[in-house]
This record gives sequence, C-alpha cells and structure tokens, in this order.
Amino acid sequence: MAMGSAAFAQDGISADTTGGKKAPLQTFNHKWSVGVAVSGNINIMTTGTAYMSTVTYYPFLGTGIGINANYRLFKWLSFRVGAMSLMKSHRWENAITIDGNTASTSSVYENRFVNIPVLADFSIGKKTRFHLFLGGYLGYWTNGHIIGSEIPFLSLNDEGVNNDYEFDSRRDNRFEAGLAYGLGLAIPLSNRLEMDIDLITHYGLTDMQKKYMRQQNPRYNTTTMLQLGLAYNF
Amino acid sequence: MRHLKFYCIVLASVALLLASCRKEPLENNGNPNHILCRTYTQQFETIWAGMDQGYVFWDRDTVDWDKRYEQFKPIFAAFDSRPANNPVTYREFAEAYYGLFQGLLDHHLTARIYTPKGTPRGACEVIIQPGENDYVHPTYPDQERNLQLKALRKKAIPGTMKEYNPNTTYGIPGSYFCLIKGANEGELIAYFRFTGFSMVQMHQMYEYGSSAFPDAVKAQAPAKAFYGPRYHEGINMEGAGYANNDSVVGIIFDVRGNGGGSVADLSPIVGSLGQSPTLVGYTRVKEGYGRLDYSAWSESWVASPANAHLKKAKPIVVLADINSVSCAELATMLIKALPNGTFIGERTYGAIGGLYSGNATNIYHDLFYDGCFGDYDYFENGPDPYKDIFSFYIYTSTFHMVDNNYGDVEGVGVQPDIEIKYNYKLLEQGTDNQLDRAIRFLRVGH
Repeated sequence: MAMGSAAFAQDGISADTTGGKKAPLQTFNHKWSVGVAVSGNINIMTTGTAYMSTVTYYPFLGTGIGINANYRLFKWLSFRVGAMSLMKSHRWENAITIDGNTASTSSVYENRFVNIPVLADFSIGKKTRFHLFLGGYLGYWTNGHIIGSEIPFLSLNDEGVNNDYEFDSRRDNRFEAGLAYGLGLAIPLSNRLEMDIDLITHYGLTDMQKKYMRQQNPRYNTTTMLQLGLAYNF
Repeated sequence: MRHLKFYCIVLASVALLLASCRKEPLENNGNPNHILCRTYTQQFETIWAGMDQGYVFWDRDTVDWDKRYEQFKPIFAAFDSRPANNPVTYREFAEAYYGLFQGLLDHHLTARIYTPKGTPRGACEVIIQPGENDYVHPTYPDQERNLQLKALRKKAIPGTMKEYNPNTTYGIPGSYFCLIKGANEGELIAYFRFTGFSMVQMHQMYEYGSSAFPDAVKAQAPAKAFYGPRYHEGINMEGAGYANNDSVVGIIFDVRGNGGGSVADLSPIVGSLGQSPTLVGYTRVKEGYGRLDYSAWSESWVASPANAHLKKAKPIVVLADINSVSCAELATMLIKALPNGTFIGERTYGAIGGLYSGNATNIYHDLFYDGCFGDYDYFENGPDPYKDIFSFYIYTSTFHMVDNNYGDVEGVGVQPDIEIKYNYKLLEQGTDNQLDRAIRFLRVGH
C-alpha cells in the first residue's frame, strides 16, 4: 500500500499529531510509494463442458512477482498501478470408466501472463490500515507450458508430455483485460517502510480465444492471489 | 468517510455490471456420438457438430466449415419440408452430403449416411470418401502386385522364394520372401513383402478361436513355420528372413500396394528391423470443443522386439507407392526414420492419422472427443429399414500425426528419399523399375 507524503490539510492530518511524544508509525502520511511483491495464486479457467461429461477443468496453483507504485490523493484514497508476472494455470482431465476400469488423460497448462492492474485503493485505520481495492487490469499471455499424460498412438506406454505451449494466432487471444478487486492489510515497519498483505482477484472479461468458429466455448481466467509485499514511502 | 462509502458503492456497481459481460458457455446439445436422428435437419446438425468439434485436422484443413453450415442447412431444412408425395431422391441426398464433405483433408474419412425417408425407401445411403489424390495409378493394386511378383521371380535366387498365404485365406494378407544377389560373390539381399498388416490379429484369432473362421486354427502351423513360433511378438530373423545371416548385406522391405491394417503389427514386423525403439512421429488428439483445441504433441515410438530383432544394423530400403496406405505408410515412416533406412519409390497415399474404431459404443470418441462417431451398429450391419432413424457413421482419424521432424503427412503422404515413379509399361515387359533401383542402391550404396 503506497501511502501519501505530506499532511493533507483538507483531511485534518498533520505530520506530527503526538504533541512531542514519539510519533506512531504512519506511512500514509507520504504521497508516493513504490513496492515489490511476491504472490501465490489459484487460477480457475472457466469454460463449458456441455456433453463432455467426463472432462473436468480443475483450478491450479501458481506464483507471481511484481512491482507497484501508489499515489495518495486523500488519506482514504490512493491509486495503485503495478506490473506483475504471474502464472494462470489450470488442469484439464478426461477420465472415462469402461467396465469398471478408469482410463484418463490429463494436462496441466501453466500459462504465464504479464498483468498491469490499475486500482483505486480505499483504506481506513490509523496505524495498521485495511484496504479495499477496486479497478481493472490489462494482461498479456507471454508463454505457456504443458505437463501431463497423454495416450500416445503407437507406444504402449504413456510417454508423458512436457512441452512449451505453441501459440496459434488463429485461436489464441493473448490480450486479456478484466476486473481487479480485493482486500489488503498494510502494516508499517518504520516511517517509510511497510509490509502489505493483499488478497486480490483478477477476473478476466476477455475470452482466451479469438472468435474463430461458429459454435465456440469461451474461456476465462479468474486468478485469486495472496500477495506479500514491501513498500517504500517517499 | 462519506466519500469512501460513495466511491466504493459506485465502483462495486460498475464492477458487477462488467462481470456480467462474460459470454455464456455452449449449451449441451448432446454428444453427436450417441444422438438418434429423426429428421434431415437433425442428422445434418449432428454430423456437422460432430465434425466441427471432433475432426482432428482443422488446423490444416482449408475447408470453411462454418460456411458449409450456412450453405447446407437450408437444403436439409427444405428436405424436411417436403410433402410425403415428393420424397427426397437419392441424387439430392447424395449431392447434399457430397457437397458438405467435399475437399476435407482426412484421407481415412468415410462418411456413411442413411435416410429412411428418401426414395426408393430403404436404399438412400451414401458413402463418401472425400480424401482424393491427383496422382493415381492406371492399374489396380492386385494387378500390379502380380506383375511385380513376376518381375521379382526373375531377380530372386532360385529356390529362395517363399510365400505365405498368397491367396489371403481367412482375409489375412499374404507375404513374400526371397533372397537376391548382392554386389559381390556370397553377398545377399533379403527381400520381404507384406500385402497387409494383420499378423497380430491373425495370431489372436488362431490362438483364441474365431466363430467367423472356425478352421482358422489350422492355419497357425504354417504361420509359425514361416515367421517363427512367437511371430506375434517379433518375426524370426533367423527363420523367415535370414536377415541376421552375415551374408545378408541389405534388406528390401516392400509395402507397395499395401492397404494397411493394424498398428499392432508395426513392432513385431517393422520394429524388428531396428535395434532399439524408433521415434516414428508425433501425435495429438482433441481436448475440447474448439476446432483448434489440441493436446500437446506426444511422441510415438515403435518398440524393437527384445529377442527377435535385427542384431546388426544393415542398409534397409523401403519400397512404397501411392497405394501404400495407413499402416503401410507408418511402416515407411518407421524405416525412413532409421539411420540405415532409405525410402525409394513414390509418395504414399496420405491416410496416416491414427484411427481407433471398432468398438460398439465408440468409447474412443468419448475418451478423446474426436475420431469416429455415430451409429456403429449401422456401420457394421447396415441400415435397419424398419426403424425411422436417420443413421450415420463417420469414420475419421482419432490422431493427428506428423513425422519425426513435425512434417505434415496427412493428405500429402510420406515423401521418398529417391523418387522412382511407377511405370506400368516397363512392368508389363517384366521390369520393375522401383525394385531395380532398390537393388542397385544396396549393391552400390547410392
């Protein structure tokens, strides 16, 4: 959570409100801040399975790293812009039972995106501050990797797959945009340094595929990340 | 604080509105593999959707399948609107489906479609194979094989010619073996020809009996004598082929005119020519409804039988032609992939996409959501004129296959290292130019 700098007269905030005593840690008195963050996330790829009753798309865990900058407009409102590289993965499985025996194939799709969230950051609290984020994000699907099992045609054994994802420009929509929202907690460590713990969701509104066929099943990512960050206020 | 509440509510409302912008997923219209159709339109829609979602070559196919929908849906809707005294004719029915499938790439694709409402009743069935090649032979494979065999006899060392099941008894393809003189005194070339691939199936039929061929078990003894006692695991190189003999300096493996068969034969017959497993190519299947929703490429290896393979690598020439189809093309790819393998002849047919069929419930379609779909009972036993069902069965590839360099082979075939075109005039005169080139290659090394 980047905090404001100098006091905001309109909000009745002064730089020193303690009457000569040791000042409490109040990083929201700064106007700008920059920070770094690491995150763990769970991504849900939402699509339809219609008659493919044996197919399931499972959520999958991922990680991310990012930087962000905050500009404080009021004590209770600041704006955050960031850039983060994060995985938005999912697992696909098709399990069919024949005469009591189950045969299945499955793959984990590890898709890496660069996301740029722009958030309004509403906050309350004196020392430790609670935050509510609302905004949007833009994303770009940079690369992907597939790890899984397949039933190969000739080989008797499943050789497994461990390949980079091959983009198909006819199908893949690498641009993503959506809503970003979440909650956070900012704990000041000193007058300039604070630790942020945020739970933020990126809710994709753009289909991961271009419109290339008449009857198409859309695919959307929803990524909820638990983000741990350090911010420096100035 | 008032401001905070106000802005939060406004932004949250906008967010909720935007969240509803996601498109709805496809509705469940049923699995095309299991739908019983009662009208022309339903049959068309089911076949169109089955191909739309389960055809495995959409990434390469140039047919505009959406356009075909717009073009043909009104035609089938009009069929449904016909009065009873003006039924759809066979010609109209056939033309509509020929038009729908025309130009599709899959060279295995066979669409068998039936209407109980057409005229004459019960006879309106079309069988469509859209995969066609511009290049064809002027003669039939059987005729060619007889002429090629005649030419081979002239090259074979007297007394070495062996034939197994030349009359394809019980439907089992035949095979031939002989020895041909090498470049130097005492050097030999071993020649194999397989007219089809169903040896492992044959073994299972012999071993476990078959109600279709009650006498088939009697044929097992000659098979064992020819290929070795455990031929279904690997043909005996000391027996039928003599290929392990030191005097054999090269091998010709001939699959010209071979219409294919079961891939179960690849390892015991063709894999036995290698000393270790061979990477033949890569395959992928579908993973979703999208035409381009593919799995990752998966390696396709063919094993070399542990106790029945060629002990020492020797130059191997595979002879194949435009009538080498499916499994024969895989055999060609396999030998071409060997470091000591060379393909001489002409491009193969181009029906290389792996295909799983033959189960009454079409479980493979339900496992991969691609490949063959429709009424398998109809496919096996023909239409039932007493049921008002618009039956169909679409026989199409389950796997998209490429060679071991990710080169496309479907529809274009395997390309020879040394191209020698089929020459009917020479063959009529007793000269097999493709065989002669293979012998020369093994004698002089190029």
